[in-house]
Amino acid sequence: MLRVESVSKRFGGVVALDGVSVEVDKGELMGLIGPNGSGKTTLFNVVTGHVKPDNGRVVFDGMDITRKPVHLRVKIGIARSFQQPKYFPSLTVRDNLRVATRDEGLIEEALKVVGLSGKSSVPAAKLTLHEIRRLELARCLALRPKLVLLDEPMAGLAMREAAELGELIKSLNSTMGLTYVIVEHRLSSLFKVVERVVVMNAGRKIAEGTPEDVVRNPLVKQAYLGRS
Amino acid sequence: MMGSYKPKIGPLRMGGPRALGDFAAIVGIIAVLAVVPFAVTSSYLLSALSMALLFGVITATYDFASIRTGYINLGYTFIMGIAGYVAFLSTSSPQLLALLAAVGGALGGVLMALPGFRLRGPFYAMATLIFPFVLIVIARTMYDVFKGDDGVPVPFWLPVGGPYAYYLVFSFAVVSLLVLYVLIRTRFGTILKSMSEDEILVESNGINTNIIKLVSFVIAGTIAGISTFLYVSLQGVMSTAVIEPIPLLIYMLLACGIYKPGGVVWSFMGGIGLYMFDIYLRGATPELRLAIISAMLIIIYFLIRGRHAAR
Repeated sequence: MLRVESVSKRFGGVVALDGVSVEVDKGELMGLIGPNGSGKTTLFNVVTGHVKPDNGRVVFDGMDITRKPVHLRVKIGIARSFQQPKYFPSLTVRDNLRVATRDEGLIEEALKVVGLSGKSSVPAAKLTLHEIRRLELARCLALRPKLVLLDEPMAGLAMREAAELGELIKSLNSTMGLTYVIVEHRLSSLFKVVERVVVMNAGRKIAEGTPEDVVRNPLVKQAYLGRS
Repeated sequence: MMGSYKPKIGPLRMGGPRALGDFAAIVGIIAVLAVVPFAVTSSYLLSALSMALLFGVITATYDFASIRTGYINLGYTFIMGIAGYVAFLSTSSPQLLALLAAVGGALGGVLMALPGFRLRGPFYAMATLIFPFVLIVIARTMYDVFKGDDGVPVPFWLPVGGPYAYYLVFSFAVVSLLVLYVLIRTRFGTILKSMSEDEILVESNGINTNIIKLVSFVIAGTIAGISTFLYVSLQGVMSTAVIEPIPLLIYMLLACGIYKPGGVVWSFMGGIGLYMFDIYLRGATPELRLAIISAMLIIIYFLIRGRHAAR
């Protein structure tokens, strides 16, 4: 479904991505992990069009989207959430989704799926962090995506809330066939959700495999702990 | 839930006590303005009120396109200038004049939106400030065509000061205000408001924000263009005074910031009030006017600062 081919990106002297190649299959739940500054969010930004790569290609559903603007990538089925939760605080929960779609039925369904139906008329500014994370997910669903990129969706949540969100993501994956790529630092919570993990460090992909495989990988241990 | 996203304006939504309050305010102000000619016999005052109404409409369009989207525009009088010159340099037929002014206003709106494709915040504001000054320089330099500060004489077709002219302006103002009010209650209006909060997130919702900016400025420019045509018709001359950003822009900013920025209704009323206040001030000394306008600038500063601090 998604193929990132030898993508590189520099910000001045900083190499954020150095020839990274990643493939995501349809219906897959993939985790993307790595220490801070390893290039995970930059890779997300390259896929969604918020950052243009210096080299390499991004192919989605067989189409080269490397130079397509953000809004067109959304239209072909790529939705994302942000590391710092993004929402429109002065708008109600329902109006936040109205920006994404004019289909009221779809809005209703998305709110129901994430458990925010009872808060549809509440200004988004009054939501808790847990609810905001769910609102972000609902917004992604309202865009009728094929691929959802979630950037640290569990950050700041309590253990129980993170587990609930993980279960919700898994159920959406199985019932609706949505493909997910999830960046997360809470590895124990992430590993309960994803089937495959890609590990990045210093702008490069250093490992790939099942959660069990990558935690045993010496390069991954070195990246996280500084020793193997 | 899969499928392609279709950007449309979306259905009109009327709901909530805040919306009802705005609607009550619209009905109230329309009712009061409708009976003005019965209570005011002075043709000067009626003419001044007509011009204030038109300034109220122009302020509401500014609120709609600039304040609601967060693209604070300091050169909005440029739209008035383009609309006025396009119309009055082309023909003397009133019907054609209105149409040409609308086209000129829309063109001005397109030109005002273009810097917003690349610039935001103070950079956009400063870039737009250049527009009216360039137009003023052109109008003065090409005196043979534009007649500079003296202005192009406007064909006399509107009986100034009479109830006929007032009700024509009043009808136009009511229709314009209702159009803008209805638009902000649609999905398009919600998108305009969301742009002032987080444009990156709006793009991430599959919306081409450049198109939204362009459409909002074209709508605002078209209405502002027709307003300018009526305004200049009442005034009798199209000159650089219509384009001068000060003090008109200060009044617009203040009117939009007083209450519910981007809500159209209160900026319309604020525009009327401040224009009448400006007429009252014309009798004051330049020092007093300077002091009052400076005080207004300070108020605007705190209004804008307060709005941004709340985010």
